[in-house]
Amino acid sequence: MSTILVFAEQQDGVFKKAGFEVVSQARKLADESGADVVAVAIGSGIEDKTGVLGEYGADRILLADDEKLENYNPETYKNVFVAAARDTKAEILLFSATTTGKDLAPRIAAAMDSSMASDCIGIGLNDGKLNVDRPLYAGKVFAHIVIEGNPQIASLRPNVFEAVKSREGQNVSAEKISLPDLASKISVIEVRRSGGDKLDVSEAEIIVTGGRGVRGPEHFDIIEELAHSLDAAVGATRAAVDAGWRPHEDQVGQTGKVVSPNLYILCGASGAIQHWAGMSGSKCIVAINKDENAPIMKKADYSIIGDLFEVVPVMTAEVKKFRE
Amino acid sequence: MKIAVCLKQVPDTEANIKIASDQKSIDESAIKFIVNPYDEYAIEEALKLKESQGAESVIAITLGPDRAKDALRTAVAMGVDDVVLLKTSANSSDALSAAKSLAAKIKETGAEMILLGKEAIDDGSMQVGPMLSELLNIPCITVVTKLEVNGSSVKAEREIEGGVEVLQTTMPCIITCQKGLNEPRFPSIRGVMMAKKKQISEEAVELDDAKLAVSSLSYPQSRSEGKIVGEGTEAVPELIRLLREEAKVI
Amino acid sequence: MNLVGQIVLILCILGAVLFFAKEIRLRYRLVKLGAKGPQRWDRPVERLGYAVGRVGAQICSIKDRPLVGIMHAFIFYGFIFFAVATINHVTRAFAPEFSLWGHGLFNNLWFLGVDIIAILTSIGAVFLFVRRYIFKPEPITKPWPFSRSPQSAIVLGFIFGLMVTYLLNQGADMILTGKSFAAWMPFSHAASTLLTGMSIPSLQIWNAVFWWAHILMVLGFLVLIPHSKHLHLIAGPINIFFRTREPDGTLQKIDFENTEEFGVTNVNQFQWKNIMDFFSCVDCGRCQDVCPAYASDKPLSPKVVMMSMRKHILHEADHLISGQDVSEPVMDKWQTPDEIWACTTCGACMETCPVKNEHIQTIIELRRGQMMMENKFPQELEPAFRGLETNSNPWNLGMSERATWTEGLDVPIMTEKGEAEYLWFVGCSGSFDDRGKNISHAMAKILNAAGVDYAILGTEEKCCGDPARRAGNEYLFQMMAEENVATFKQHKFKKILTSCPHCYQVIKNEYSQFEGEFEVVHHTELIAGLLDQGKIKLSPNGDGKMTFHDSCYLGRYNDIYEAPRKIMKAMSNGNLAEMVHSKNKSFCCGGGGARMFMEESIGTRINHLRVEEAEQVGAETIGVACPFCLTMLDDGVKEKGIEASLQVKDIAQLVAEQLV
Repeated sequence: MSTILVFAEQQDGVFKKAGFEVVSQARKLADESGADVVAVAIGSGIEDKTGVLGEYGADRILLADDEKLENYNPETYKNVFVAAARDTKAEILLFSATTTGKDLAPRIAAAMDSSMASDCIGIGLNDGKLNVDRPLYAGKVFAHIVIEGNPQIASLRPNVFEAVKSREGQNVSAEKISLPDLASKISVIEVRRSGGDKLDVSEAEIIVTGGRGVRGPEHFDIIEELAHSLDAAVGATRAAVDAGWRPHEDQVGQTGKVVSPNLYILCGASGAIQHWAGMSGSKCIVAINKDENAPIMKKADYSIIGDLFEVVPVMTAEVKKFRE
Repeated sequence: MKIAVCLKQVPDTEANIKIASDQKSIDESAIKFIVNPYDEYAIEEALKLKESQGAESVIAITLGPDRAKDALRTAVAMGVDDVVLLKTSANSSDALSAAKSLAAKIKETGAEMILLGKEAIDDGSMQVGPMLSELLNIPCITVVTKLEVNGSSVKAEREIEGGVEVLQTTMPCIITCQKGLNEPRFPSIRGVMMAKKKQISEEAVELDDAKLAVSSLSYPQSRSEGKIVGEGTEAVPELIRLLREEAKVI
Repeated sequence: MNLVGQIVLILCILGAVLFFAKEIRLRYRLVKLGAKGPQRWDRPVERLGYAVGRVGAQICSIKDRPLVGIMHAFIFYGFIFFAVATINHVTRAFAPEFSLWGHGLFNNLWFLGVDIIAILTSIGAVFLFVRRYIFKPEPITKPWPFSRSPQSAIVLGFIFGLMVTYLLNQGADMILTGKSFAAWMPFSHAASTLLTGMSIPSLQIWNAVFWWAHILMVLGFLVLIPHSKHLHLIAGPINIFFRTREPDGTLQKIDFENTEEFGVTNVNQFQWKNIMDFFSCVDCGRCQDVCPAYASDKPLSPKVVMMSMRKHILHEADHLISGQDVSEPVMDKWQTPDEIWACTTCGACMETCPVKNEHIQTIIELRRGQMMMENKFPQELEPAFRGLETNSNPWNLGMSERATWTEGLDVPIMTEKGEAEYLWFVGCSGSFDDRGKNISHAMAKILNAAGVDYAILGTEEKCCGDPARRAGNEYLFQMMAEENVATFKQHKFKKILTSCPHCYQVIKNEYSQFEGEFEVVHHTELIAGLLDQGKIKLSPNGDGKMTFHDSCYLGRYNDIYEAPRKIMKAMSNGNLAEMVHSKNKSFCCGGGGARMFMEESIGTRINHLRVEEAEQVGAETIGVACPFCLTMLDDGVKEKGIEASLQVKDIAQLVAEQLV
């Protein structure tokens, strides 16, 4: 009986949805191949919270619970997981490509002298080999990859795979595993949760930008509210900055900051080339503009023709709805 | 102290990527290559550390075909002291074999601070930094947005979901750099001209047999150029759905 | 005159002349020490003729300021006459009866001339004094402290004094010698009436006083000349002789292979001609008067660049002459970044300069030094440079997208067509910028309608390099230029057609520095020709008033004023107004000199000023002939919120709309 070992990621004692997605996907693969799904939970004081992993399809839950494991530490987590992988002789190791997963998985791969595929958006088994699809060149091309060796390792992109409670109500109790040496050359001094801090446009993964159409500094609050609901930074076009509505540090464009976030929402701006040159690298562009002939409407991935003063507040409400 | 920077030459972000006739690789003929933007943060940080810590030298290492020399020249133009090309015959999509070659070279240089970008924008794997950590058995902190070095002690701020983590370690160590860490300098024209004349040393490397192979490449479903979701507030729920389910960006 | 007087006179003359010679020699040596540059001895006869004509007829000073210029001309001719009259004046100390022209009719005519000139010169001096010190016009009194030196007062006082003492001296002479020249010297005679009634001895004393005062003022003036802007008496005409014969603003090539220093960081790196410019500057402020940067409250005034450099080089004179290093760099004490980066290279300063100074060359040399030697330049330019380097366009948009604007249109590509009469160099704006693409679409429609044999380069095309060169990044410019010239040479065509005056200037006048000699046509020239030949026909629609905004690089740089006007006239039913600044006096849109890719955060907006001029003439349409002008003015119109009443379009767009 082969084993698929899954890293079930938690933060502050709460298991993450991304982890459930991987467990669910592992369950699917296991059902096809007759393997066991074993979830590894690492943290502090999480014993009574592991049960849910069984509902998503874990056959066994291995628990490493120790005060020293409260926060993610790459070296201790890696040691724990590698020990579990060796113990279970798992042939497939799956992670979620979250910040933690991206940091952890390659260490484990190297420690076990295995190659891995990160950030996969498709996964399947073929002849006992893990076959994955993953984006290359910022999604311009997809690669179909066959992973060989033992173990075979992959991390899955969050929000791509469904988290399904295929075994609703199932109760799997956690097995505590013996902990390896928890010494680490890296120590976590502090964890700061963001909130309230103004995000810089050049660092943000989501940016909401207002242009001339915002019509005044006092109206930027609706832009700010949408940004806040998305944990996004607020950007401004040159026109808005020139008019003195926003500080220059917020300016996105050829002569401001050149950004390439995952999502760029442009409200009340035509998307003239000086602006376009600063944000055309964004992975997804949304435009809200009254003028359906504005150049941005042709270039944006998605656009809404409408008054930003009506549309943006509704967007904020909708985002809040699903984020809750 | 010696500082090593691992960098990668990648297609320009604006490049039009076309799949080659073998269906497994891309057609490089019309592609302009650049230094991986995240590696520019690494170069900049290395140069800043050299200035602030009085480091002996900064060496930039890259793994790739002959054209990757251009990336090294950019590093020289920015101010890196030494460069070496680990010349490969084929492009590998396997980070582990690349990390092994790099690790061997890093060991040889005796560098105590190893900097690289948090990821290369071509394959976006984010693996080499953490893998080097295992292979060299030294700590690695990834996705760093702030770095303080004091003697051999290293304090780094690392971006995590919904916040920042402050970590401490000691050199030798590996840091992978995220945007926000610094503003990479624009290579001076004099630097560019000097770099043009620089002899780039190269060492041929044989990559391990990859345990990971691209069997085929394909284009994503073509996103139609601009989709007007609708008019007014009624279109908002559909937009949010598309952003979540189709674009998967929120 | 007695012997003591004669000895004193000779000593005074010797002292003044030696001092003058020493100071002039110093300046001559400073010019000679300047870096090598074009020698400008080509076509010496033509150059001489131009300089003599320009100065002799006083076109230099009259052309842009007629009244002031005429007053200046009085003084100028006063100098010419008095240079000779002074010889007579001095010789009288030794031979009272001597006159250069003997004692015939010509001598009489000569004295009549001098008499009249003396009065006109006095009028000129008083006029200029009143203008400068009572009316205080901005161009000559601002910015402080450059333009409020008392030197001009002293000099004008000397000039006035010279005339007065001459007339009084001659008047006294008339009484004392009893020879009446009243008919030939009416003004001296008039002066003599002031002296009548004086006793002979006191008249003799006064006569000597006037005589000495006159000669001492002449000598004092000689001493003052080299130290003041009045050096232009000597340097100006020479500078006009050495004027550039290329279109204004055409920049020189840097030979990267054979030089270690690029541009200017230290004053000793300026070329000899730049230094000549510094010494020639008259502080007249004509350049400042027409400078769009100055008009929009930027800290740049072209004359201040010249005067500040003159001060700086004199300050460093000892170091320079003795071959030592200069004590300080030009930046930031003698020039500031905000000054040199404010220039739009519009060339209005060079167009108006009475001594033919080349302000742009000096400013670009400083930019080159900052950019290439110091790596200091406005940060906003970095993406543009990266874009040119990586994707051959200043916006860093994918180079594979360069020809996507042609989708759905019938636009032939050179590689497919093989050969064509016109190689249409579309340019970056025309290829990537939505507003520029509208011009390209219009142009394609016109070319196809007229059946013009043309093709574009498609993805083979690269930026012409203008923004890089104007921003001082000569290295990057040369890369672009060499690549484009090589591409051009691979194709068969007769002429290059450009839609952008910047491409036009660079390809036509600057690619020759890279062994690329091409016949270049701007689209306004081509369209005007097509209209003439009847290959296209227009049906003017609407009767809204139009105006035409001259692009600096098309107009001032390349003298194309009539072709666009011809088209505008045809389109506007004759309802075409000229703005207050037009043709060679046109006012920049603010986008030249790589300013298109920089922030304009100081002062007011240049494009706003220009849009206001269009509003003043009641225009409903501004026709332009440059994609940069289109962007700048269209932005200006939108920023002012008047897009409903004023539209900005390229001539090609307007023509395409009216095409029958």
